[in-house]
Amino acid sequence: MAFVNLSLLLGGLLTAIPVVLHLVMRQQPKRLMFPAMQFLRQRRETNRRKLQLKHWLLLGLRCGAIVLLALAFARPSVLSAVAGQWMLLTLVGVGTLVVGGLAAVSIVQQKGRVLTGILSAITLGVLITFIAMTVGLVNRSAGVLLGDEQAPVAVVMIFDTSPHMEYRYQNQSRGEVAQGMGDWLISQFPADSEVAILDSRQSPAVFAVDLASARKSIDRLQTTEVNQALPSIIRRALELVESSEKSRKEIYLFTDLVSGSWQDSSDSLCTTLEEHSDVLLYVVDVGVLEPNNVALGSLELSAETLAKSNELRVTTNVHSVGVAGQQVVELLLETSNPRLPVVIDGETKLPEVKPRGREEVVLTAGESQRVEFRLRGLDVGVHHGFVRLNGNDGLAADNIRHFTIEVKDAWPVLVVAPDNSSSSLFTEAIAPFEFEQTGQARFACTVVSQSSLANRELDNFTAVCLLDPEPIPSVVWEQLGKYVRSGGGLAVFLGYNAQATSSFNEPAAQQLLGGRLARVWRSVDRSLVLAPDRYDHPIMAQFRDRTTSVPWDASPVFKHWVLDPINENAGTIVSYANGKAAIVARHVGSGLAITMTTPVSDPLQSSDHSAWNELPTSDEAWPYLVLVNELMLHLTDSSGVRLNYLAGETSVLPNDSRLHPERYQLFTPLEQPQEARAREGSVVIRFTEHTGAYRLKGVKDGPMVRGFCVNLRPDATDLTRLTREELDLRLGQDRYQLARDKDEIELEVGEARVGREFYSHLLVLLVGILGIEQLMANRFYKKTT
Amino acid sequence: MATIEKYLKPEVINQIKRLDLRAQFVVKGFLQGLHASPFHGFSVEFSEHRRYTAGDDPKDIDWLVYAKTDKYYVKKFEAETNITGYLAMDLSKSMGYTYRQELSKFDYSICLAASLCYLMIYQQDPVGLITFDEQIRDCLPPKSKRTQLGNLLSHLSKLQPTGSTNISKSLGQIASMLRHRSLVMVFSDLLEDPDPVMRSLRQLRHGGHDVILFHVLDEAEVHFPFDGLVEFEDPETDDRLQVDATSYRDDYLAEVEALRDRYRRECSMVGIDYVALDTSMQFDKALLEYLISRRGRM
Repeated sequence: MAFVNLSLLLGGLLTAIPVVLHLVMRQQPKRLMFPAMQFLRQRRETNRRKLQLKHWLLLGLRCGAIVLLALAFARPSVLSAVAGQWMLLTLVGVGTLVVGGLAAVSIVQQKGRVLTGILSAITLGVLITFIAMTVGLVNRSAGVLLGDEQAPVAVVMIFDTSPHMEYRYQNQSRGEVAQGMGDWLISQFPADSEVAILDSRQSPAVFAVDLASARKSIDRLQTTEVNQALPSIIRRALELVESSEKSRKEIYLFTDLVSGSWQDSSDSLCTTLEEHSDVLLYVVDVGVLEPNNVALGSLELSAETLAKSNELRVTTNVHSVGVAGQQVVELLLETSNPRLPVVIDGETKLPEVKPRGREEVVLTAGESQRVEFRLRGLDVGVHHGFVRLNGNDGLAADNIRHFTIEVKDAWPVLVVAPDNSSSSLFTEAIAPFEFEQTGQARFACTVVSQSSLANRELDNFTAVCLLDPEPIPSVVWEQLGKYVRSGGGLAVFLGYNAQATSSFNEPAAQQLLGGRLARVWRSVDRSLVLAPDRYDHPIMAQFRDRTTSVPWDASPVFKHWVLDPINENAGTIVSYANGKAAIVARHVGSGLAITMTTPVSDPLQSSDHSAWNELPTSDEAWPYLVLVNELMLHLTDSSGVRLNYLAGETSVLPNDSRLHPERYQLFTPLEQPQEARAREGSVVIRFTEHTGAYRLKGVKDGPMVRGFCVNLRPDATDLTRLTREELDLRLGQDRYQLARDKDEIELEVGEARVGREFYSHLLVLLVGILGIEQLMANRFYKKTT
Repeated sequence: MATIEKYLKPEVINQIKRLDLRAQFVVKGFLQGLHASPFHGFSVEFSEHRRYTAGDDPKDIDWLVYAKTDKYYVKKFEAETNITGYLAMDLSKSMGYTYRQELSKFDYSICLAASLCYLMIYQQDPVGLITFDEQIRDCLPPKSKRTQLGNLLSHLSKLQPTGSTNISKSLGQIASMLRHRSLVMVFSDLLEDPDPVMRSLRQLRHGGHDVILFHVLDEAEVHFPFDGLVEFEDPETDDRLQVDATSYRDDYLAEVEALRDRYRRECSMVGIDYVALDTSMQFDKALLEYLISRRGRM
């Protein structure tokens, strides 16, 4: 409890006046002659007690009136949060007085021991409760500064500038509403107040020079894509405001209470707020309670780097919040032009954008629908594109999602087979002859015999496939190891020719293979088949939708190598029905090495050995085709670079000095072009705050354009609001004041600064006591008529 | 005569002159008018003739006188009076108390006594006066002459209620003083212990006297019209008592009523007429009411 005019409490000493008057200037009774005294003497004692009780009551009421008057003028106030408990305490106090008075009357009038005992016990109980509550409340209110509303104050105003604050309602974005309120609030601050403006960025927190500069800071606020969680910003604000020498400290948080801004993995904010109990926290809710919005989910690309003529699948979700109706989703793609962008007359000219897909979806409120676009015939080069939602809704930020892909020529794959083995089944599976002729093949296979492997320049190939290899010299293993470590892909399909296992179990080989070749597993019947139990690996992605209908049993495996032990850093992708590993993958350096323990190129009839399996030769061979294609795609894609980032992530593009320039001109979505340099084999771009396409333009044997794109995090535009309970959980119940408009802010600020004043309540109580006193005095000292 | 007029107003006389005051015991002598006697025809000494008035027994008409004068006269004898009245007046200081400063209990009692005196003399009954405080102070012998009323009232008007009182002792003295069976009309505020008073009243009653007890209280003593803090002083003893009159009223009224009830009850048991009066009551009406009720009981 605090007092605005503490000195006026001294007025309470005036209670001495009625006491003195009572003692010194005791009112003289009217003196009358009266013969019938014998009737008066009968009940003289009882009457004398009544008289005394009335005297004391009257004295008590008068003293109480003076105390209340002094208390009212001292303007006591308490924390708004505990105002209700103070009121309850007052009621308990009045109750104590009433019950105590009844007990006193009972004792004076000798009403009976039982009644007197009960009343005394109740009085004692209520009195103990009253004292306990008083002590509890005083302890709870300790350390909280209340008082003059016009004292200078140290204020940190936090503005949530997350993308969802762009939500427009009644022709105003949430950010604009927050700015308006912030401007108004600054004009309400007492002179000499210190004000700091913080937004959602991780910018240094300092107090503004004066209120005018703080106002300018508010006017300059903009939506930011890379944001700190609000709890972290509140912590920074607490540190800043505590550094002020002003005794009164306040934090205002302007937010739409969207839950995405409150994600914070660190310790609970409640504890921190409790530690800084002298700082008042106001949460100004500028959000819309029932927003209407249609949003695009994040884009899923089938590949970020794909071979020419490969199909690109772009899928996303369209989600509706509070809106029903038809929505049009479009996919637009830039044509690849190595000469663009270019700045002409101060304006950046970008490649032409062409619509490549259009989908219509009909949504009901709260529904989510999946939309897929398929693109073919993309030219070689980097392509920027985006999927957008036509039409206007409350939040524009989630109506567009960018993507970047790189299209390359068919992946050059080196297929190595011993002289006694045929590679045709495999090459036909991944690059059919017809496709090669028409330029649609995803892989450009170069088939060489194993004996010539040592002389090949592996760096020209994206992947190397060893079909049923014979023992390989250590030098070649080391050559292959170097290739893989530098980012190449290696697939080893073990088979009949690996009988001399020593070559495969030597250290150089074991650095690439999935495990040590222990023995050959032989199956006497056709019961042993591939039996994948998990489909979460990208290689198995195509089988996910038809897991139970894949005819694996049509392609029996008769023999396979058993890897024992499997290398620690290798993972089994597919197993046989006997539980042994069929396909094992391991990352080596920047590349990937995949080992399959049964060959994929054994013909049905072989001259020197029986076929180890019927995977490529079965009547139902489509699982084989899908499997080897996906395996090869995975192998080649692993060398691809990441081209799609989320806002705030650091972009890293590998930069091969043989293929790429060292210096680039970087075109960001918003700013003027700037220079970017490749260092240590990569171009690192750290400032990815803005969404859109980032283009790197350089010259290496002619103009070249590379690039990547940046999107918002999917949860950055989720408009799900925190409930009051969730907010209580994060900030602590009764630790903050929540307001939605200026009136509520004024009320909450007034109450929190000055606390809940009891002036009016005390005056009402005073009037009540004066009324009772007047009534009693009139009745008591009524003039004899 | 001024005194008589003061205490005996014509309107009061008009109200009560048609009434009488009958003794409750059987009269010995023959009486004109309403005093019926079982000794009818018993010769006593002739005293005088009196004009016949309505209500007299026609058989008492003296036909000889009628023959001579052609007017009705009834015979009156010396010994015809069979009731002797005594007005016993309390002279204590408390009787002089008046709250409104209009009519003290003493004055009220005199008015009442005057009326009764008139009534008795009017019906030819001798009336005497006894005044007392701590003991008997004065005693006027009973007479039935018309001048007795004037004498009696002029005597009363000279008296001032002063000093303390001892009603029981005084009544005891009266009981021992009266030789013949009489009608004793006591006027007092009875502000003392009721036990000895009742004892004396019983003694009086035991002596064969007919007793009417007029318990006269002041209006303020009956209604207790005080409020607030009041210090009361007893005029007789100078005792003081400070009370909150407002809260005391109910208790006080209960006490007064309890005392009256007690007197009423105990008087009724011994055959004494108890008449509770206060100075706010119009005494003529109160008296009329009492007399009518008394006649109804006879």
